[in-house]
Amino acid sequence: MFFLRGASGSGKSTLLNIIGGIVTPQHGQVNIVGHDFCQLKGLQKDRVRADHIGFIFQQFNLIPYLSILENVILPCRFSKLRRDNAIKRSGSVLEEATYLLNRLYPKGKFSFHRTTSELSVGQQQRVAAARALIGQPQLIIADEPTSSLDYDAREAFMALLFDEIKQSGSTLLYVSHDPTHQHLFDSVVDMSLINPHLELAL
Amino acid sequence: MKNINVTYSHFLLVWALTIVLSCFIGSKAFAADITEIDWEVLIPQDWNPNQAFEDMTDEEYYALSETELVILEQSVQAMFDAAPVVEAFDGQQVRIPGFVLPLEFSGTLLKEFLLVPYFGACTHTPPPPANQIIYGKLKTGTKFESIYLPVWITGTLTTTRSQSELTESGVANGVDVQSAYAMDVQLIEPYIE
Amino acid sequence: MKLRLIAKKSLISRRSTAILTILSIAMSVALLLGVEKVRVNAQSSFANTISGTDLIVGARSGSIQLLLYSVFRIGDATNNISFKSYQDLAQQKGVKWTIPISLGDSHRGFRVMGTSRDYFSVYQYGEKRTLEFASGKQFEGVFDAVIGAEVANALNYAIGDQVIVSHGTGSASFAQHKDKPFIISGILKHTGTPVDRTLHVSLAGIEAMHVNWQGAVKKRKASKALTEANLQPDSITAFLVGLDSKIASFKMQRYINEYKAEPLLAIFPGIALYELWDLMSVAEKALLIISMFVVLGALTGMLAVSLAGLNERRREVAILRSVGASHWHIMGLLITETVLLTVVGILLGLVLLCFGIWFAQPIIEKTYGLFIPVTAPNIREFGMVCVLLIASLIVGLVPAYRAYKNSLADGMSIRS
Repeated sequence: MFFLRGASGSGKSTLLNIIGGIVTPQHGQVNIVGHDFCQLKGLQKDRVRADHIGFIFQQFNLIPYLSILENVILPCRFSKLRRDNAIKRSGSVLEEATYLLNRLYPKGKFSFHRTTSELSVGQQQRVAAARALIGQPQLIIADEPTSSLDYDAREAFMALLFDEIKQSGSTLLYVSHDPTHQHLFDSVVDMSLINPHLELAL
Repeated sequence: MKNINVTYSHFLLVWALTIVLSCFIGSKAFAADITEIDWEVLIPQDWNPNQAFEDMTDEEYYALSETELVILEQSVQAMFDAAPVVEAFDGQQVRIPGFVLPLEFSGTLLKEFLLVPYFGACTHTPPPPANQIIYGKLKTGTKFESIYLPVWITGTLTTTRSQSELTESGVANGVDVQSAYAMDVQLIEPYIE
Repeated sequence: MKLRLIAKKSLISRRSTAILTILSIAMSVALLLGVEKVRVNAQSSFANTISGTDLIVGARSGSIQLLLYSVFRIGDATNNISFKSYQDLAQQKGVKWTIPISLGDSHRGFRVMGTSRDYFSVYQYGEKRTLEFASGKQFEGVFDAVIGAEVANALNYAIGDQVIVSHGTGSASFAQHKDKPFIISGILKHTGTPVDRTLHVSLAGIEAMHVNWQGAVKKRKASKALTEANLQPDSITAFLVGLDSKIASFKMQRYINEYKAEPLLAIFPGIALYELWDLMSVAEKALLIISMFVVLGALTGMLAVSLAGLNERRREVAILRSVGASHWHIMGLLITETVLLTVVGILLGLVLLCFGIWFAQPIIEKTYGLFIPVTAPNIREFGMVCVLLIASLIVGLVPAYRAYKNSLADGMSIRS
């Protein structure tokens, strides 16, 4: 589990875009789960991202016109690997989604067929987490996932997330400007170490 | 597996060849049956309505009075009306170009028409003689765009014999059945030079 | 979850604009196909009206005009033919039958036509179909009338009813032949031609009406009895000719056109019909071009709506990219939305068209004698629909490309 610390404007988004294969760096190498991104074409990078990476963003994670369940199973639409994993674990994609949601909502008692527009931010973040986790991708990238949450919700979310990560054995790359939780992680990396132009940009 | 593939493509090749060959032969045979004709051959060799005029010398022609001229022209017209047909064409498959005069329709599709050698047969005087008109019928109505453009007509010609008798001066005497060309039309195509 | 499902849900979430887009496409499709239907059916309606007639003869005027007033009861003749000329021509060698036509009177908006008894057995329409009686029989007495199916329906007439004929062919007349009522002796079956909208009487009947009648002023009663023998008309409006041999048509036509006694015009109905269609084709082409522009307008509207909504959807696109959607997926999604809207629009347009025709059918038939059936689309209409679908695909490419460009710039930065 990695904690990547950096203030706003430190180039986090760019780094995440590079790791996700959205942006190609001008120099250097990107190697994700054994795939050298610089060798791959756009479509192939999309494939790798779909198969091996799950994202959780700070806000607006969900597609408003799809239901909770439909949002969670999205990655299985684009990755056969994760689809197969989900089916292997729970028999069907929908059942796997329901299972994950139940774990992330231990006290929740509402229908998962509802649209996401009625959910609170905290609830939305947990749906996003379920979506990132479905099909057990090897890398979970969380970009300031708790910044929009209040203190209680934050703690609860972190606990649930860590629980799931331990279960699936995925690598977690947690990005934040707030060092409060960094002690929970195996490694801490500061953006200033990665981005030598940081001083200039600021 | 390999053997089966060879046999299959073999079969396809033979099948394709057969199709191509039969089309070729068929079209040749088809073409052999259809004679392309022009309007002149529909006129019997021995029929010349203008004979009277041609036999006259120039002096005799200018010596004719008004009434004599009219009578002579009328007799020519009568010969036009009672023009004989070339019976050899009965039952023949022919292809002939001409202009269409629509008669009967099925919806907007053409079913019966008259075929003539030139456009404006209904406005020019004199009208064409009876052996220069073909009465065409189609089994199924066909789309027909413009009466102003010439077409190729392909079909089987039939002839009906006139029961008229011509007197010495060439005036028709009691036409019972108009001699005529009729055709069971198979194909109408646009005429392109 | 298929792309189609995502596209469908996406459109449903933006219901109001989607419905408006669908409506505008539907209306333009209904217009385009409607214009085409009217065109084809107007042509075949005209062609169906006359069959088996070799020549139509009237006073010298234009050929289309003669065709229109004699057969379609549209417009009026400028002059009449003397009865003597008619009789002379009817007796010519080679003439198999003639049907005289006398026009100029009407009854409550429907034309009254004087003709001979032969009309009912000789006249043909459609594909050599003769007229049939639904009830009653043809006229025998001077004041008998046979009416078409539409007249009977619209005015609720039955055999034995009395009918007052008005002078002139307008929808109203202030000069009526009140003293000479006609009695309905027969009602014809439906034909789908102007025959349905006509009242048929004998030539003697027309003549009897106008006895003592001079320009809307009635003279003293005549002393002569009104029998058929006394009621030979002086003139008729036109007559139809059937010949022994079609080949002789040219000769007869020439003879009539050069008739010394009075100026006459003999036309081939088929030629006049084509001339009429030629004339109509100008209007038809114009209508077609207009409706194509309307369709273009609807497509442009759809494009505008799609482009306008793109900004809002940048978030959505970024999310999809993050879960593994490629650029092709995104473009496919947007194109699918466009095509889906068009497909629904076309289907709705077809429904609108069916309803429109079904609703307007009786009105059009009554007013113009045009019968427009509700039929499945023909090949040309089908082709138009296919072109529209392809156009919608091309239209969809524009927002798809824009979204692609946007997502290149955005990456996964989810803008708020």
